[in-house]
Amino acid sequence: MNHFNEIEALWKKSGASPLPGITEIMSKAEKNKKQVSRKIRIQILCMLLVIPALVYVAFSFRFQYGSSYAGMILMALCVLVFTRFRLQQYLFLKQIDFSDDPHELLKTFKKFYARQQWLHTVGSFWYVLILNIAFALYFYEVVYLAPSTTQVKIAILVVYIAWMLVATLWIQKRAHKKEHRKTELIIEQLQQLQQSLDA
Amino acid sequence: MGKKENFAEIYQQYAPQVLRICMGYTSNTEQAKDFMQETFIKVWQHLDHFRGESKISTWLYRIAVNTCLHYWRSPKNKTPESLQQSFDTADHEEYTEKEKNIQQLYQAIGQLKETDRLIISMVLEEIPYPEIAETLNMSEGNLRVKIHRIKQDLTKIFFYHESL
Repeated sequence: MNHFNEIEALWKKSGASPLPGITEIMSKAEKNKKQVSRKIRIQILCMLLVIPALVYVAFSFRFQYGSSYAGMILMALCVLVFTRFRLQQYLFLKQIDFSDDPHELLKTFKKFYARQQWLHTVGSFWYVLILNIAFALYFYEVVYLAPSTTQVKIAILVVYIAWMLVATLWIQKRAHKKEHRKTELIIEQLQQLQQSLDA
Repeated sequence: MGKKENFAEIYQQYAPQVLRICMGYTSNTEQAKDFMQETFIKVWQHLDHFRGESKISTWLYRIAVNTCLHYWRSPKNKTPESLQQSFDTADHEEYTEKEKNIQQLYQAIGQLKETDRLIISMVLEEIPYPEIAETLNMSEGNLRVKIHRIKQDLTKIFFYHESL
């Protein structure tokens, strides 16, 4: 191992680069903590504000069809379910302990990314689909009772359905594919890391 | 001792060592500084939770190892096409002979597996084997076998490069 001694000697010569100031690190840590929690709080607040807005609309206008109310209930459900998942993800990340055993941490991250992959693919497919159905149910009455010709109503319907199909089958599918590849790569790398630690 | 004083002491004592371990992992000074900062940000945020079940250094090395291993995978950090791209590819013409050799050493370490880079950096930092084993939660026997293999690999890579 004589050669390795040369490497050791060289490593010792590498010295130390100037370090960032301690106050800089502490203020970054505090800023980082505040920023993340503020961001998530704003996101959740914005999502939850949709609920009183829907309640206001439901009680302020006298809708004639049950479909309008069904649409609003579905929208509220979508918002609640989305908020729940967002909050769950945030709490999961917050609980991760970086001083944990690396094997355990890699397992935890694998679980997180697997869950995220499900959310970004299956979960978000159903979210967009149900939200679109909710809007369709809500706007059914508006379009049906609108003082316009049948052709205009059919045109609106066709445009809406076409948009729904494009959004769910094309735009979303592309986004899912990209997201799937990204998380798949991360999971694969985490597996490799785990294997190299175990080997 | 208050949290600030405690943290300051830890930072002064361990930051240069953590930075060199991160350098061994990434070979790029700026990135190594980012990793080091990220490590100490976590240390500051979780210092109150340190239960004293292990040595503070072991706790800190674990945070550093986990931060390095997870950095590229974090949603807030960009994942490079390959970790290999992160190695310093700057023009080293103006470097002295010693600096060139050190850069070559970092590049040789960079050719090892991610976990091996961290292990060898800790070995070169003369962190005792039982502490490295505890940091990585592996048996000392297993660690010794690994270190023996990594030393051989690194020596081969480094002296092969040097002979070119």
